[in-house]
Amino acid sequence: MEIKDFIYKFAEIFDDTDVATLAPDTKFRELNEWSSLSALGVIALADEEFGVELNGTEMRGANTIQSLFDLITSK
Amino acid sequence: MSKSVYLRAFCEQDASEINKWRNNPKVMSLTCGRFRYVGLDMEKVWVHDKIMNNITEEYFAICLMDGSDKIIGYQCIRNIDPVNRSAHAAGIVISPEYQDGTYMLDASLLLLEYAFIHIGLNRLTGSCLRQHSDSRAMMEMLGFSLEGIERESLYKEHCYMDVCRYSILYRDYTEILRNNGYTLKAIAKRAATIRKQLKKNSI
Repeated sequence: MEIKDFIYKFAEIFDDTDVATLAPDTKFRELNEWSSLSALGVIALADEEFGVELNGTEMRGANTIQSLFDLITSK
Repeated sequence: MSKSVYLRAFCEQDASEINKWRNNPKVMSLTCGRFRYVGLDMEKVWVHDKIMNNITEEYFAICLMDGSDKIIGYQCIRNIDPVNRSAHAAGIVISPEYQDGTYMLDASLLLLEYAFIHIGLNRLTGSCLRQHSDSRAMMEMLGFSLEGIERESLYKEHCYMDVCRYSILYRDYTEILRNNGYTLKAIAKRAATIRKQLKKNSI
């Protein structure tokens, strides 16, 4: 999976966030719709699309969508 | 599943950190508690009281498991009723920088384990603001069932708010546990579905 495909999948976590507003350097925690459940959405995405198990501590090291993608694909 | 946090009893030094959260309207707006400014002196007395009086209520500091032992929040069970073996889970507060859901989830799972396994409760109740859909989703992800909605039972931020009342029984907890439903993976999968259902139904 390439980063652009990952961004589309990432956007599916949200209801109202337009995928066109997302880019690799987007700081995902600054998104209006980022909430206490969004991290769980990312964890489910990592599991379903990549077969990778993420935890909260690992996610804390990622700030942008690119760094999240790198984290998941490096596992 | 490895946890990102652990629970411990309060100690006197926790007062200054707790005081920062209790004086933060944004943090307190997510709870069913009323916001008010609390001085550090009063906080120290409050923490001391929680340390020394732990028969019908127990407060826990939520601390990082990363070796720093940093306190990032607190939660409690109160109204502990040894006859009916029930209690109320109340007031989980998490520092803003750790509010991504996973720390709260780990802390809540530890609280369920404490309530049902360590002190042998049969029923645990919980409540949250009706409008706070993430909290409601969190309750339902943990296995709590909605018992009812108290209409306009809380006056907060210049309006009356509905409060959702939830409960989970020992048998609910053990069934989910038996089916590996408390792994992070299983809970994450349930999260999106529950949140969308809540949004769709708006009940």
